Amino acid sequence: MSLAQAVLQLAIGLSFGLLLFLLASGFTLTFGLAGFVNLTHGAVFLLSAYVATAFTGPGGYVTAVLAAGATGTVLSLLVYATTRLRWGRVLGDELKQVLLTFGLLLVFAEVARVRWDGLPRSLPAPGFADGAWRFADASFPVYRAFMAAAALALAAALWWLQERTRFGAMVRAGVDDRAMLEATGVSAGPIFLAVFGLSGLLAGLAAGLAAPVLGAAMGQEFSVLVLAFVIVVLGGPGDLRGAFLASLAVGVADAYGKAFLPTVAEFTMMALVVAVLAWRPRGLFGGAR
Amino acid sequence: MSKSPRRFSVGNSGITAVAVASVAVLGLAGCGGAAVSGEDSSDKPVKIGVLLPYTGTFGLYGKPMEAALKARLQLAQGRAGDRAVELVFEDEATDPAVAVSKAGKLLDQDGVSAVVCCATGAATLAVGPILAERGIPQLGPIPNPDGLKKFKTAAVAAPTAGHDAGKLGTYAAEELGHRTAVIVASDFAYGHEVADAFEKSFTEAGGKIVERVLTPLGTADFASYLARLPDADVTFAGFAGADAVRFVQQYDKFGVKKRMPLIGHGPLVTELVLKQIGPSAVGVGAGFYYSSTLDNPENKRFIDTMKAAGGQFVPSHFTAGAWASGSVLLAAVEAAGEHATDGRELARTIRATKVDAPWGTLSFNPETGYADAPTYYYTVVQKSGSLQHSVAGEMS
Repeated sequence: MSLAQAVLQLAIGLSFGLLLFLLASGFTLTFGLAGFVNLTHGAVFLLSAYVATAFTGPGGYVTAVLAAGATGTVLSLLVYATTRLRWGRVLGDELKQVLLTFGLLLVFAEVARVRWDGLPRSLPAPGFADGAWRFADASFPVYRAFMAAAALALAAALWWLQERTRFGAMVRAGVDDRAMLEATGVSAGPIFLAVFGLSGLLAGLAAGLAAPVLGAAMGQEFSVLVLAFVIVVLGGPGDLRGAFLASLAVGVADAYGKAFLPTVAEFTMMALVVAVLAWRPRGLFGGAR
Repeated sequence: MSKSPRRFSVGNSGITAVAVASVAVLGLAGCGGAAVSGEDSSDKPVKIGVLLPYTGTFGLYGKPMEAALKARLQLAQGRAGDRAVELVFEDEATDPAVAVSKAGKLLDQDGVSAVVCCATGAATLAVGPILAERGIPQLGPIPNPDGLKKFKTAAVAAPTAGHDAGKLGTYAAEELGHRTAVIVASDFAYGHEVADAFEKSFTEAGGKIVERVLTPLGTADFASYLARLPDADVTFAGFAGADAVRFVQQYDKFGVKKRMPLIGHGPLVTELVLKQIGPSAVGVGAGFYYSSTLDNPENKRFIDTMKAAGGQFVPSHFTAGAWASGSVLLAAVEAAGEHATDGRELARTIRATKVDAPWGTLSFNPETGYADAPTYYYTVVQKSGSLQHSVAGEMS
């Protein structure tokens, strides 16, 4: 592999990794804060992506991404509201969470199948980012660079929210020790609500930004969920810094895996998980709890 | 006038039986006492079971295929010759296990004389032995996997995917003048079948395969595979569904299309995915037995009938195959006459049937039971704002 090839694959991997971070950040926050395994995360992504593909007209791109973000937020809050009905029983019990959210996942996916006939759909890249840069003897689509930049900006905003605001401090405290947080007089309920909404917003925006690249198709509800799981396991639950590095690592490993060992590419990502867990059983940064 | 009483189906209750018997007697009397025996079985409709996916991954194909079969039957006024034909639909759920249990239901509860099955390859193969053992004909509506030929009662109304991909291999080497090719295909039964067939015929025609890449089913991002594709005269792709949409789009976006033309087996740019792929599909070539733009009277009749039925109808090989399966069954039931409910006899008749299908003349290979059909080469063009196939001709 030439140097140009290696750089090109790195760019592909990093752009995909940044997108994965948007996807996984919300998942890791709900997991870390509430100890809540939200399996609907992939289905929220799926429905948001389908909603985004409805705005194919000229200038529809921005609307599409915003609509996807809104869809994600609403769906995630819906999951929260459903959970809230039996909050006491569901909260400390992972099996019940898995059962409940798996059911909701199937419902969401079925809604997408009935509404869009299960057909794969896509969203055209916006005019300002259509085209490609010539690079070595290949091309790199401008939209991928734009998608990566947008994801990076959102990641920075998320970092600021987490590290520099009172809300972020409360979330971090909740991740570390929820009982202690509540003992200081902060009610966890509104924080959970906000984190669920934020998680859905991020998943929705990820779906919207990814729509011109990945489109919307049945099966994403699971494939996307697996990626989110891998990143949370690698980065440690609730750890945004860990999730960020894990996302980039997964994206780059995936790109080089496909390039060097195309036949076993599916395995390279899991090999990364095995290697990291053998070395750091609680995730890259030792886990948050 | 003797026809109308025969439309009544025979129910289980004695009252119905008496009513039907008396109506039949009246009918016979009306005909002036024609010499027909009392236990004429042709009074009963011939029941045909249809297993289609309404749920699961292929769930989208069930309803349109059902509509096509129903429309074909309606066009024949629900009759094959002088026998009424009744369709019984069940959901195979994209799942071989479900298909097997539904096949049992069709045989034991509905007493069907033939089963159209299935759109899911694995379901088709799973149901095969059950129907073969009971001597009930099985008719596959779409290019089903190679594996039904060991059952004498089975037939498939379409050529195998491998058959069409093989023709494309020869055509690519001999007519399109490609000397080297790269193969990229989905890493499951379908992808393997078309990749193997293309490779075999392309190399036999003097071509050389530079590299073969198999990608997991449901690959989200093909970028890394595409960025490293070696140079060749052409790329052959074996993808369907969402993989086809993403692959063709990304093949264009990463500038590979400018370097190497893209060809593939039909589903790569079928009517069902064409609009979603968008302008990236322009120029892509495909080898397949069906295209909605084929110019023949039966295709026109099929598309006109379906469009007249209303709704958003997108013609594809799924619906065309269901339509042609209907034609085959109607012709076979008529030809079998009073033997139509004898499974083995009907199966023999089906394999001997020759009908006009939306893709041309459809007959069955007497040895394998798979359809002998023409394979066309077409390219995607943009015409008056929409993407469509431009058929270059039949591949020999």
